[in-house]
Amino acid sequence: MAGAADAKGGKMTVFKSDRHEDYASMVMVGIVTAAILFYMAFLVGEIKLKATDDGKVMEILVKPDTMVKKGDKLATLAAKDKKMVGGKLEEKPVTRTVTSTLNGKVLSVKAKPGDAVKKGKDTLMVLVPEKGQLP
Amino acid sequence: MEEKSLIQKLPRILPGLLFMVGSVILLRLYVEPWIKDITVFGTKGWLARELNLNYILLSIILGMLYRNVLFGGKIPAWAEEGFRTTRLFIKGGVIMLGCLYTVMSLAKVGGWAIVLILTFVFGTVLFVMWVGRMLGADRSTIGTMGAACGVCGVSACIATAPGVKAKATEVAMAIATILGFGLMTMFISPFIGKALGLSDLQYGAWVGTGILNSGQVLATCLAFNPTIAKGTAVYYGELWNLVRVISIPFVVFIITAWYYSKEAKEEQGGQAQKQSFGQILKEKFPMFVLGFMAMTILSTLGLFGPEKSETNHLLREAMQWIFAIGLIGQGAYIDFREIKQAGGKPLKIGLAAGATKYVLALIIIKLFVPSDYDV
Repeated sequence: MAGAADAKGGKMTVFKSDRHEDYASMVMVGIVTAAILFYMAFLVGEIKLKATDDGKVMEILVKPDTMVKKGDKLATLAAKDKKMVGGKLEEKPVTRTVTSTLNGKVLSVKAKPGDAVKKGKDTLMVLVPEKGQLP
Repeated sequence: MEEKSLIQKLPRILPGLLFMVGSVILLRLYVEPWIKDITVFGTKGWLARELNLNYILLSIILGMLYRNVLFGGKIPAWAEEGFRTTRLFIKGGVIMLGCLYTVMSLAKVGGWAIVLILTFVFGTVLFVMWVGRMLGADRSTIGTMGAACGVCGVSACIATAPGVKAKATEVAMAIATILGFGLMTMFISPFIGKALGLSDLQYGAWVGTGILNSGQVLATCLAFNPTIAKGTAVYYGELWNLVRVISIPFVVFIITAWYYSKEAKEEQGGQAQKQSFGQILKEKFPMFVLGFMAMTILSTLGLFGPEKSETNHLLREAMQWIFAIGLIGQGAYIDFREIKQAGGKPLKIGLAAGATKYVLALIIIKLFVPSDYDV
């Protein structure tokens, strides 16, 4: 793309041909992706579990050093289910359960009941994932 | 003269390459966060959101400044070979883009909505091809404008450009056209929506189909109804926009295939004898587009972890860095003089396609989309 005019007249790549450049880009991405997947699966030490909704923490269901499995309940949040119906905003209080997305161990709990949390911003707890899974 | 191997070229590649990498570090670590913090019209981050002044545009703009201001109109000899790696990084970024899409995301949207959106996406691509031919535009211009107007602007345009051998100037003009069109429609759409009494669903569906840029879709929906909740304009706008975004790999593939099938025909002197699609794939088709498709398939199969996971976040981050390096180089191949010479063809194509899609989407949605429907 860059300077295709140059490409048509002269050479716009450091490789022998466009095909070679295509293969080189695929190799480069392959290496980067493999490195990221390896890092996340085997080297990453801890994962911060963030709030899944805006609301208040109702209960923390695990303690530090608890072993958890994917799907285990970790906490409950008091949230509001907002929906626009017929041009009016309806708000319904709901309880959301936060579940573990991986197998691992709870390293520390950062939130306590009554804390106001923001979706995707506030950390509820820190987990150490089991090796070999992609958190 | 015997051609040098890549290893032998390395000392000449490194200065320019390091210059691009250094620029990206500066841009992503200091300039981008600063722009996100600036308050304009009382809104923090207005420039980044409404003008889409993110790492993509900032990298291109910086590259343009290098060439046209710092380098005095020509990339200097010491950096030339390094800047020739630009396409390697753009292609790498496009391949990595594939790992962010899953076909499963389509399940979030109702069947009729998918049909409507995809009809608009591919209908616009075909319309751009027709208008482009009428105006006698280059196939590379038609390809980039088709992707830019059909899908969601900047990403689609950048992903298609290397496959159709588009000039850096053509990419810049396509991006400028869609962002300019988006900015204009962003201000008038809420008034039109209110005047016609559109519901949140109808407005979100219209804007999600008719506006060409993801950030601008979000802003336009919020201007209509600032509430963020299920059933609001922003909810539907984002949902509609999502389908458009997911169609990027398929649009890129189809436009690239169209470009090469035409080129093969031209090479045969326009004779009726056609190359088979398999032959085109084998001999000419850009392999990185297949890499892009392959990454989307692997992502759909869940090989890169669940959607919105930490792994996904890191892959996205890596993609942005790779893209940014390429886009600095991309900007450095944009010569202000070339933009003048290009004339108004890309602008005319973009405005014709954008306006048609915008108006047609409004008519169809007003006529056929119910005011309230649980998607």
